[in-house]
Amino acid sequence: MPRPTRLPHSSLLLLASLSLALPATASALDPNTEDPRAIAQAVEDRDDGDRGKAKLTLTLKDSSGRSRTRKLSQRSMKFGGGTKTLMFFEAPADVRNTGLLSVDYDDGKKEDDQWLYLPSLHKSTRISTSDKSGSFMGTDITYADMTKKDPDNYDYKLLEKSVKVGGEECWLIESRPRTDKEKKETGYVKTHVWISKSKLMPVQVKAWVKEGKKLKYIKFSSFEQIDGIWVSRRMAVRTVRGKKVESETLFETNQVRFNQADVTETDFSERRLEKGI
Amino acid sequence: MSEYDPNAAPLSPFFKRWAEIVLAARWPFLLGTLALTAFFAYQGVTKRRIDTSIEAFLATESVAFQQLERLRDDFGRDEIFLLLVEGDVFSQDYLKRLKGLHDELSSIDIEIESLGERKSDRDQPRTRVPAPAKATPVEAEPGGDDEFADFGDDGWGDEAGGTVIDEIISLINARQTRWQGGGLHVGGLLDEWPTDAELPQLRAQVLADRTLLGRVVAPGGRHSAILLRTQLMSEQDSNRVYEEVRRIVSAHDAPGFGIQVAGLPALAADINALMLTDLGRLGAVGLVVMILMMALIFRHPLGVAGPVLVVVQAVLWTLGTMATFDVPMTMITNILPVFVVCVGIGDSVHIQSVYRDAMQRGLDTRAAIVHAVGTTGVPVLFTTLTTAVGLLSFNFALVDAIQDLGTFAALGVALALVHSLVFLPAVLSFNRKSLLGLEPLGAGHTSKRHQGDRFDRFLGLCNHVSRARPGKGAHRPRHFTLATAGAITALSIAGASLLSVYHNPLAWMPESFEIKAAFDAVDEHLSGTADVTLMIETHPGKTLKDRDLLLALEKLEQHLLDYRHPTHGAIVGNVISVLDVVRESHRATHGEKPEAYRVPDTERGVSDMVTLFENAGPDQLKRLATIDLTRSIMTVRLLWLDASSYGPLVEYVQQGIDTHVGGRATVGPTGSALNLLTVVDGLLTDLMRSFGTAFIVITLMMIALLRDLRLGMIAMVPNLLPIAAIMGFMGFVGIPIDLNNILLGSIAIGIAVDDTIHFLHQFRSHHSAHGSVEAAIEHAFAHAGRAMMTTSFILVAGFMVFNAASMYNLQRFGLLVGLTLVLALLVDLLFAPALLRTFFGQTPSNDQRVPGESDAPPHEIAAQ
Repeated sequence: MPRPTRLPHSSLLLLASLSLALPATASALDPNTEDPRAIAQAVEDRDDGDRGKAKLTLTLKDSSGRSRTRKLSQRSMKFGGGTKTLMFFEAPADVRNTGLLSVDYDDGKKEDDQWLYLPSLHKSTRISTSDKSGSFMGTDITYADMTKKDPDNYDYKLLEKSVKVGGEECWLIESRPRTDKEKKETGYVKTHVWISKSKLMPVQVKAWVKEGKKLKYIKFSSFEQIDGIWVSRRMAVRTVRGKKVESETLFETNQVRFNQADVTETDFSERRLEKGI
Repeated sequence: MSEYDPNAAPLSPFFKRWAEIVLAARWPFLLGTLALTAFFAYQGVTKRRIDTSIEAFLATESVAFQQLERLRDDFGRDEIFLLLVEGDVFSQDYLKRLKGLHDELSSIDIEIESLGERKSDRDQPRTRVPAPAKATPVEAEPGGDDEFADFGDDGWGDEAGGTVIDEIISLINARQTRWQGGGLHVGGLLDEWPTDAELPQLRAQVLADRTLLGRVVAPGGRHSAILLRTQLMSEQDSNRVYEEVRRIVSAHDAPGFGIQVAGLPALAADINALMLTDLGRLGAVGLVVMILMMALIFRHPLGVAGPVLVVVQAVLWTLGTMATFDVPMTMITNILPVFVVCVGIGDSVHIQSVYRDAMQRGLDTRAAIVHAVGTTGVPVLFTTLTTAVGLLSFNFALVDAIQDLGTFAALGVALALVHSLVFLPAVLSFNRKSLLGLEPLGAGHTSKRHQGDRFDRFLGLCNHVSRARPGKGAHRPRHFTLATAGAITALSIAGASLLSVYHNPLAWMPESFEIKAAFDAVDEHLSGTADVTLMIETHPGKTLKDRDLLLALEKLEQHLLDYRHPTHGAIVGNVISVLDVVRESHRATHGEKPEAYRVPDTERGVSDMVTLFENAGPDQLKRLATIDLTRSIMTVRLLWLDASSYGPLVEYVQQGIDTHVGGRATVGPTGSALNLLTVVDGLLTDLMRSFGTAFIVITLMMIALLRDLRLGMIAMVPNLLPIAAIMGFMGFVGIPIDLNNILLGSIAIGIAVDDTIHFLHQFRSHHSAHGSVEAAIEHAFAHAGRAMMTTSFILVAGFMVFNAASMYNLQRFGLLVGLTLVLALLVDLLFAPALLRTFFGQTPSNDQRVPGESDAPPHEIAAQ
């Protein structure tokens, strides 16, 4: 089932996975299709890689231009029901060795799991993601952006059969939550997603945030094919309120690799989390 | 006024020519004026902006204003709607109703054009100091020239939904940081709805929570609050949100669930509504009063229409100019319409009086107009200049709104002069035969007026007061008059030393207004509606994770909570800061033990608590600290007091900062209490600067006009005395200096000096020609006295119009200015002759020519 209102799954924990197994899936979809569900389905069904490793730089910026940068190393691996991701903060020094383990279930009805390891507590703590519209680690994306959703709760509309964004031929799809629960969980009134026809990846997203009448803009760039998988190595998110930019977050990944032999099941345990980098 | 002797005043060639030009092209002048009036009226109606915010009274250069702007850059709107809900708080019925109200308020969705705009953004074109610089260009939005340009954005568009509410806090969602399911959970208090059995426990828990008690719930459990913060927006849009809040509140208000709305946005909206009401009412009453006055004096439709249309157009042009330049109406500048009407009408009354006298003497309409404009052009120009100088002196004040008043009131008075010299002659040219209230000369000479009426008898009495009597003690009356004036001066100085400054926008409101009761109720049951917000900025390389800094802030927090006001006692309700989330997180991760409610023991511990909280409640953290954790706020909630009363607290806060934080961080206070205090801090300085400037410039003008240093200096004494007297009176009866009556001195001296000019000029012209002081004084009384009384009567009646206002500050302002003008007239009539007799010769026997006085006949200035 399609899940077009969320960002490509696990994309925000591992940007390298913002990708599609292009030859297989793209060719399976008629570029002239006018079925938004089929397009979204194709995006979701793409292979976004396995046993991946990457370095992530996360830069948060507020309306006054103040910024904070965090550097993380991350690895991810698929399992039967979804994807596990392990991240460690490398910088700044005061958060070094803080670790984050997340389990992203394919089943949209199942709550994702996240654990945070804080060295001073000497134990892992579970992160509650009950308020999905809340910000993920102070960034411009929310837990809802990373969570799989039930497509039955959404209406889809193909707004543009063909629109060019940065030279990319795209579909423009609108999705609207059907239920109040879904609206509350995502915090969105509606979402517009521009999807590249050639890569079957989102190129940009505009989301209408209910609270505070904000608009959120997401721009994917630096597309690159790594180990045969299309990857966007840069994602910029901007939250705009009225006429003012409220905040921005820049996600940049490098040293992206897939199918790494040293990424194993044992990496994704609380014990490993507590061991640190 | 109508006693003006046309033969005594020379014609100004310039104004004579000017009148001829106007008459030659009366239709173009008339139609051109009316077309421009229509334009300015359109501008005024379509672009008018009203600013009732507290910072409208702040100086844009002030530290408080700059600090406030930085606060808004980082943390959004600082002013909140505060709803107080009375009832049995810890009952199912109350809580369910509260949830209904909370949910409806949080969903307020109205079209807001100005979403996200700061006041300084809107005022940017006219402020002299640019708003605090931003590191990121704010215009870098989608559609701009950056990586987001592809969106080609139409913004929110016509999409329904969304809210304008930035944050809403009540018992329903009050932050609860607790350990749950193996992790830190930051959620709302009533995320899980309590059963009946759990209500007592909920009550105990809430009433023991220092972050909720006084802020969200009252100690007795009979009141709770909803704190509603919208996004930044214009005052007009904020007023629309208030209307919506009121609508929702009225739907939920019920027995056992009584709701009151307080908070600064609500106060500003109510003031805005009152201001609009007052503007309309005062404008209408002012107009009616002036029509009646003109009808009384001129007794002919044209005689009424001319002066009234002159001032109405002056008002429309002034307001239209303000709107064109996006200068808002404020609680200060809203006196402009009535002010321009009652001060500006003097010029046209003057010209029209001379015109009808000339008509009475047999001149035809055109000749009478040329004569009237030619002989009065210079004097009305001069009196307008002195009034304008008094008003323009407000540009030396620090408060923007006062500067605006000075500039645009001066413009209004100048425009009234322009219309008196353009529009009025054109209107009068349509008069064929009417003498505008005068009787034909033959009959008129036998009229009561020329036989000496009660005006003349009163003027004679005034002249008599200080005149020498025959025999022993001849000079006693003069000495007595001077001694009385001296005594009044001494008393005034003593009284003025008791003057205090005061600023409290809430006190402007009529008692019947609900907002007053709402503020009082919030002060009584909760921690108050005012605040001091401390902006904490860490030093380079440091962040809020610096444990030593947090410990210092903890001491500062306790210092603030310990504060006792010298007269008001405990005014600090609670203190909210980033410390709360650090301590809450620490407690939650340490088994919820009360003793763990503290700053962690290690630097890493602090860092981890911040990281943990940021992951569990990042939006909550953003309310308290910037993204880079280098800037944070500590909000101190206070009872609402008048501005001056916050003085001791602000000093105490600074002491606490110096003692406990020292050099660990930069801490700058702002917030509503500071803003109010900043207004009164600048008031006395503004008063001295503007009044001093007006006094010096007007003195120089008087010297230049009278062409006599001594007479020029003497002329200013009668103008100082009434202002000193009114200040003394205010000091003795306890009327403080506030934003409105600070204007009194400069306005009064600018207006009152006109009478003195006329009186002294009549004196000077006669004295230099004939050398007799007594005769010159007699001449001055005869030729200027009645005009002075008429002018003062019109002005006092005009300023009394302010008593029709709903707002107390306007009523008091009108009364005080009116009283000052009455005093100024009395001083001119009683004290000026005594001064002249002292400095120019005491008795008819020693009358002499003034040394250095030229024999040149008086020119330029004639009496009214």
